[in-house]
Amino acid sequence: MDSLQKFYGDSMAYVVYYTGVTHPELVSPGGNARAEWYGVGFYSPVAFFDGIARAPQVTVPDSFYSVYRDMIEGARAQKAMMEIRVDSCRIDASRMRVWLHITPTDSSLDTMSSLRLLAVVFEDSVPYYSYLREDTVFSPLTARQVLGDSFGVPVRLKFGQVFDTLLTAEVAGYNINRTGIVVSVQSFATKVVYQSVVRWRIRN
Amino acid sequence: MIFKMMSGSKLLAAVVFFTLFFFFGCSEAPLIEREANRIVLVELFSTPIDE
Repeated sequence: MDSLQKFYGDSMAYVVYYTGVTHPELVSPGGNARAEWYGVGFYSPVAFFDGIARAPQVTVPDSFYSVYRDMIEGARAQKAMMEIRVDSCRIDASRMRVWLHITPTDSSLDTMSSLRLLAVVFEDSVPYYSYLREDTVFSPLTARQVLGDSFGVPVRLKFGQVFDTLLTAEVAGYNINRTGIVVSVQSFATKVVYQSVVRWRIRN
Repeated sequence: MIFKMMSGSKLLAAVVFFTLFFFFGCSEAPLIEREANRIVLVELFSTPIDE
């Protein structure tokens, strides 16, 4: 995933939801709820690309790159019907604020009534002690919370009307130098993600 | 005074320029659908390496 992230840069918004019982400090209630919503089950790792494209199980680690890259290219070929921009963001020891600007670019959005604004706050390079390796391991882009509830906040978008909003989240206990956010617009009915934006670090 | 300094063709060009400037400057930009740059959301569900 690191190679893909470097290759696609800001054209790929990426977040990891941890499940399991050995390291509850990595698990978030929002991540568990989304795993259930997607029907992940006990298979791991499982990746979803823009909500609907589920990557096939990969057994050979080296084949991840080509499989995932094909999935990303397939998702990128879909029409983008809006732009999401992070206008500005602030973070301190207790709270983060993100100002969002959404510009619908397609009138097909006007009739969509089940859209949700999904915002996932993540923390990068979270240290945890691995009993298997007997060493500290760092987990990348680990989901900490999903704002609103696990399925986002209902939103109505209309072509020709920009949508501005402010997102806030409690971040007490996070490493604020490594905290970021992914924001997407997703259909609650079909699970399709129509557009996303990522800010890898709130504090620059 | 300004008009006296202009020749006929320059005056005509100025009138056309300001007419177009007023027309496009005061009217709303037309709504044209366009395609935005697609940013793909990748959600990975995983377990720690101990599992």
